[in-house]
Amino acid sequence: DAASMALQFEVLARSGRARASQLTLPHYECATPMFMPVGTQGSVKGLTSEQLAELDCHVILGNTYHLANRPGSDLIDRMGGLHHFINWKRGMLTDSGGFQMVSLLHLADITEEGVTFQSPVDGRPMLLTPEQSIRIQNEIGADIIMALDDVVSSLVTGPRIEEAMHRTLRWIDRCIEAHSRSNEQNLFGIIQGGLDPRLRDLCLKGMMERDKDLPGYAIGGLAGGEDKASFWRVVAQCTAALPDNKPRYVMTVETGLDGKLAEDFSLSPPSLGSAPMCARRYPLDIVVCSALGADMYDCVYPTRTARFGTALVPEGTLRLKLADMKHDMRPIDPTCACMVCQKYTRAYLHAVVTKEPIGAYLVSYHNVAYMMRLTRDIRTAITQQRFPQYVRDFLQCQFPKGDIPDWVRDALKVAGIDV
Amino acid sequence: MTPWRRLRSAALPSQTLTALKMLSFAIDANSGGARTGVLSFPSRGLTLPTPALLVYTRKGLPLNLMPDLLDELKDDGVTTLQLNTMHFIEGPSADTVRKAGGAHNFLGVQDYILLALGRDAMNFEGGGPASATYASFDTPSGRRQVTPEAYADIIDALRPDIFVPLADDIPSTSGRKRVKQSVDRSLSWLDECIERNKQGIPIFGSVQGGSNLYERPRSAEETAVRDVAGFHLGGFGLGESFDERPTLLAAAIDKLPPSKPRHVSGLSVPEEILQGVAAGVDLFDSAYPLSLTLAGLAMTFPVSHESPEVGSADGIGSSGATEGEGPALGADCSKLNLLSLALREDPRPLLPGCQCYTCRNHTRAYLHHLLNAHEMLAQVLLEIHNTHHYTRFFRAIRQSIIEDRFDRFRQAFVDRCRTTQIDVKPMAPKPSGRTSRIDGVHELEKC
Ligand SMILES: [Zn+2]
Ligand SMILES: [Zn+2]
Repeated sequence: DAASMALQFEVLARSGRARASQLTLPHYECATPMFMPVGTQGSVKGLTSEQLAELDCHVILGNTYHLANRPGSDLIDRMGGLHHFINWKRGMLTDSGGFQMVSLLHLADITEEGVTFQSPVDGRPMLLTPEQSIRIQNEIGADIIMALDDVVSSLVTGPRIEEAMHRTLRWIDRCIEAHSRSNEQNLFGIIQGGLDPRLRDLCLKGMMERDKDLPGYAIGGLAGGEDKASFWRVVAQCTAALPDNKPRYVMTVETGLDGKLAEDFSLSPPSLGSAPMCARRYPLDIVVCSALGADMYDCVYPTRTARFGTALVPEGTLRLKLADMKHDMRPIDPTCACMVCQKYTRAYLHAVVTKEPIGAYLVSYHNVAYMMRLTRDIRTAITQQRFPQYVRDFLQCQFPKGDIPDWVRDALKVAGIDV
Repeated sequence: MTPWRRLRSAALPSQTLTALKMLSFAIDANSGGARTGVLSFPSRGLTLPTPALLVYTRKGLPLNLMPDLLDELKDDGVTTLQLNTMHFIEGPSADTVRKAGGAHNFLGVQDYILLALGRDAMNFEGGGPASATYASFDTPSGRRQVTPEAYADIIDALRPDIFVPLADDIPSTSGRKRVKQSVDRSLSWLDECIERNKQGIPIFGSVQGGSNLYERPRSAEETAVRDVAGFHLGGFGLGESFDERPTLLAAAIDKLPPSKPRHVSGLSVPEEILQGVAAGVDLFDSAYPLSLTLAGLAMTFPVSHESPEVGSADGIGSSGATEGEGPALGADCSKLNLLSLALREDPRPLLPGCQCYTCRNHTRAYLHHLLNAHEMLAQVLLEIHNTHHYTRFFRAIRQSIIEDRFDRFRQAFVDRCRTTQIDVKPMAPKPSGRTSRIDGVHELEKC
């Protein structure tokens, strides 16, 4: 039903399961596969709107939970919506707010009615229902809004997973019902079901019964904690089953081993090895998921890791704090065309990262440029019918010794790419 | 005979020629003691209209302005950066900068004029322990003793367009003996820097003398007879009162040749800039735009009483800050406190009519939100606006001198902003490296 869709999605080229598409949102004509930087509270870590546009960002994310806390969705509404409030003229996406409540507030509890939690402001008990999440997101006004789902850590097993999956399906109806701006905003349904293929299948079937009301889908419940073999199998199962003519978004929820948000881990530098592995190889995830037919990605990793002095490079990561960077007169990445790589040496960045704010800005800028170039290269390779070779070159760069993890080989085999 | 006399005569001839090729100064107009002119760097194809603001940097770059944002401010006249020599002692080291071919390349600011000096406009108390052979400075890597030799080596690596030699900057409360010592030491170190200045980089000799009306002129005279391209007025902003400053400035400047440019550190807020201009100062180090930025404040004073379109009645004194809730903390007719709750939904730019990137693109409400949410973008956008606004102020000063009405300009400014107090003590980034700030302003996340 086109009347309830505020987007157009057209697959322009395919390579095996991978696809390069045009996603036309109310505010911007985007190209997928696409990486979306996270602007949690209405800004992407020190980068201006103009810089983000220059970096070729098509969509940025806002976090409903944070924005509803401050400045408040009512204020954003009165200020003309989030696009206007932060002066970003391209695409925006907001999450439902539920996940952040569950993970940030230890006193959150999920009932059939919604997520109950203690207000971080005054400690009063609060309730976030599917209706309220959608109302808040309608006020914020992003191009894509997410259904409130019942989130459980992918490490949880047993009946709780099944309950969450069924509840997510019941809640999607309430979200659809509550959505008051379907001509201007696109509600994405979220596939849950943990690591259990049977539950994922049930959720996929259930969601697709509501296909006429859902302009796109997200694959949820995947966290940094689960093993990669499970991760790619869920992605492969969902991308195979989801309708071909709609965008597929692999949500990054980044939970660590104990189910807590990676936010907590990031308090110590990723270089010390405490960050989840998925984050440290995040670009690899994007390549593999794109090979399996996914279209959209988000992650705070590129900007967060920048603040700890870690830069993304084709070989993996570069830790600018290391002593051997002190006299290294090369740019972060000699093959990168970004402003930072054109102007600055590793030696200069070594002196300012984690010490001066300018260090965080410069490395964030490069890292976003890296993610944009990665997804642009994926699109071009698909369009030019040389995606399998692109993937092999990418892996050669990341694993020069040929120690490609088994899960990558297995996933790519399913995607029809021999490595 | 003191050692510096020997050194001076040895250094003189060749240096003068080189320095002349690198820098020239022409005065276009005077208005009372104030003057406007152009500082030219012929070999680099760069010119700087004076009086001018030098943008404060740490480790060579402004705190919150990436090079593309800095470039956007060029049209406003942001062409000159103040480099702190002491920030290149450890990391980045002089050797690294030398390998890159100098500070311009290393910092990616090839088409900016760089003036290097030892004094930090944000964080300088003066009077650190010193001896005949070294001075002490707070650096991003802690307190360091610096000899003229080490200093000259860093300058040699940085290759700035101008440098101020190592000087013995002291508080104005220093006693007569200490002042005399400071003057003698600074002269001797100047001679050593001249001697070691192999590349012939233009030198602004540092005039000292504290609050002593005998030592100030002596220091000026002695500095003026040496081979220098201009002068740095040292020891200001170190405890002397606003009212006694004009006498001290005059005591030095009266002994300086009018044909050479004069640079001062320690004069920061608008009233102090006007005071310096009136005394005949041409270049100013000021961290005022950054101090306000770190305090969550936006500059809103009218740059000129003749331009009511900017900062007029709709703008500032009567802004949301005063409606119903009383004046916002720290705000007055000269600045706007973006942390004020009254600006929560204010859809206006920081300063209506301002053409900076921030004011063309963002509202007070958004800035308030960013500060509240501890988002780094708040500092970026504020530093853009504050730097833009201060350079407009300098442009208005130049215009008033050209039209020979500087005294009226100054008086109108003071009358208009009578309520403004000189109360913004520069917020010093702690030498440990992390940027310090006052309540509510974002702190760079710990690692
Ligand atoms: Zn780069
Ligand atoms: Zn402005």
